Formats: sequence, structure tokens, C-alpha cells
Amino acid sequence: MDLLEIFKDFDALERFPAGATIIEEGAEGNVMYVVVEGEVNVSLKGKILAISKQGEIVGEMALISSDLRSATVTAKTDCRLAPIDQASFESMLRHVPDFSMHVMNVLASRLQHAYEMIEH
Amino acid sequence: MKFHHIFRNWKDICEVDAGQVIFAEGDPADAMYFILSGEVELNLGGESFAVESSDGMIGETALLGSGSRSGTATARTDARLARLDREQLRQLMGSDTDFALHVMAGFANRLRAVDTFISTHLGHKPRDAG
Repeated sequence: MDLLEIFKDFDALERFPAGATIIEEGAEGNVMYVVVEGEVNVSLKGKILAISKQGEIVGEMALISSDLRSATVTAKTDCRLAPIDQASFESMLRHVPDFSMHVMNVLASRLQHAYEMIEH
Repeated sequence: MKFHHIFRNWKDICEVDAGQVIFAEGDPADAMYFILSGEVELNLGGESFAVESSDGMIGETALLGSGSRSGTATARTDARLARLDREQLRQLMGSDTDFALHVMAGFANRLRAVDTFISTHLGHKPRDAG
């Protein structure tokens, strides 16, 4: 599934300059983002956990479990992101079958890499 | 007990005794398990990491289709588990959005727990978002 292809011409792309905070850990969250251009850092308590790039998603966990933001996302470079709100997210899950498996694969990959960080 | 109806006629049910190891760190990760009853403890490098019970899941990184177990899962009580491979999970998620969201929430909670573990125990080496 190529999210970049789906969202690159999105009307409501949001721009963030390098260094800007996009998502703040502990805050409430009701939107996720697809990174259309640039890179973002994902961190928790000041420690960088991951870098998300073009075509990747961030912020989906708060939509999945209606919880507070699990991590801070900051713009590593100038970037443009496509926002997806709760309703759009659930609509995509229901009507685009590959999308739910795509999100699962993203979470599974992150989980595996997180386990590898602990092992090494 | 919310999703047990999905597994009412499931062919791949495991009954395990208290103390039994369901999978061990390093084993091939070929399937995940949905817990129908009982409690299962997950250990990461010898440290107790999570306890899952009815409607919970273990072994979910098997979804990537390859790799080996990151931790050890041991039954804390007698337990009944439904075993699912990647294709079976894909079909279930495709037919039941509530179940899909439930599984995703389980992944998200696990990821939160692991990320917290990393941020409190380790240095700030970044992992690839994949």
C-alpha cells in the first residue's frame, strides 16, 4: 500500500519547519499524519525512538486506543504532513481492507525493532 | 470475553497448564495467540514485562511473517488459547472491524510498554520506524 501516492496531492497538507513540535507526548490526540515530504523524529522523554520518513504514518496510536499521545513527534527537516482524523481513519479501516493490515504491519515492525533495541 | 464468538468453532485451540512455556525467546515466530481464558506472562530477557488475560494477545510480532520470538510466554494459570497465523488474522480483521481495532489497540499498548521500557532503561539510539 503506497500511502504517499494516495496523499501526495491532498489539499489540506500541513507544513512544519525543521524543529517544530507536531505531536506532544501526554497530550490528547485526535489526528494522525502521513509524512508526505521530509522526516520527523519520534521521541519519548527526550530519547529518540524512531525516524519516520515519506510515506510513513505517525500519531495513529492515539486514534487506535483513544489514549493520550504516546510519543513526541518533531520535524527533523522542513516537512509536509497529511492529517487524518478519527472519522477518516475508521472509514479507511472499514472500506480499505489493505489499510488495516498496513497499520498492523507498521505497528508490528515498530514492535520488532523496539524489541531489537532492548536486545542489543 | 468480548471476541470469543469469533473463535467459537476455531480449529487451532491450545490448552496449556499453569507453568507451561507457550513459546521461548529465540523460537521461530510463526503464529500469534488470542487468549480465551487464563493468564499468560511475557518475559523479556528474564524480566517480567506484561501479563495478558482473556481477550489479550501474545506473540503478535509473528505477523511480520518471519523472525524469532523476542521473549518467553509462560502460562501463569491453566489457559486456553486460539492460535492464528498471519493469513487467518488478515481474514478475521477484514470481516470484523471491531476486532481489527481491538488487535491494533493490543499492538499499540504493547508498543507503548516497550517504548517506555526503552526510554527508561536505555540510551537514545534511534530505531527505524520501518
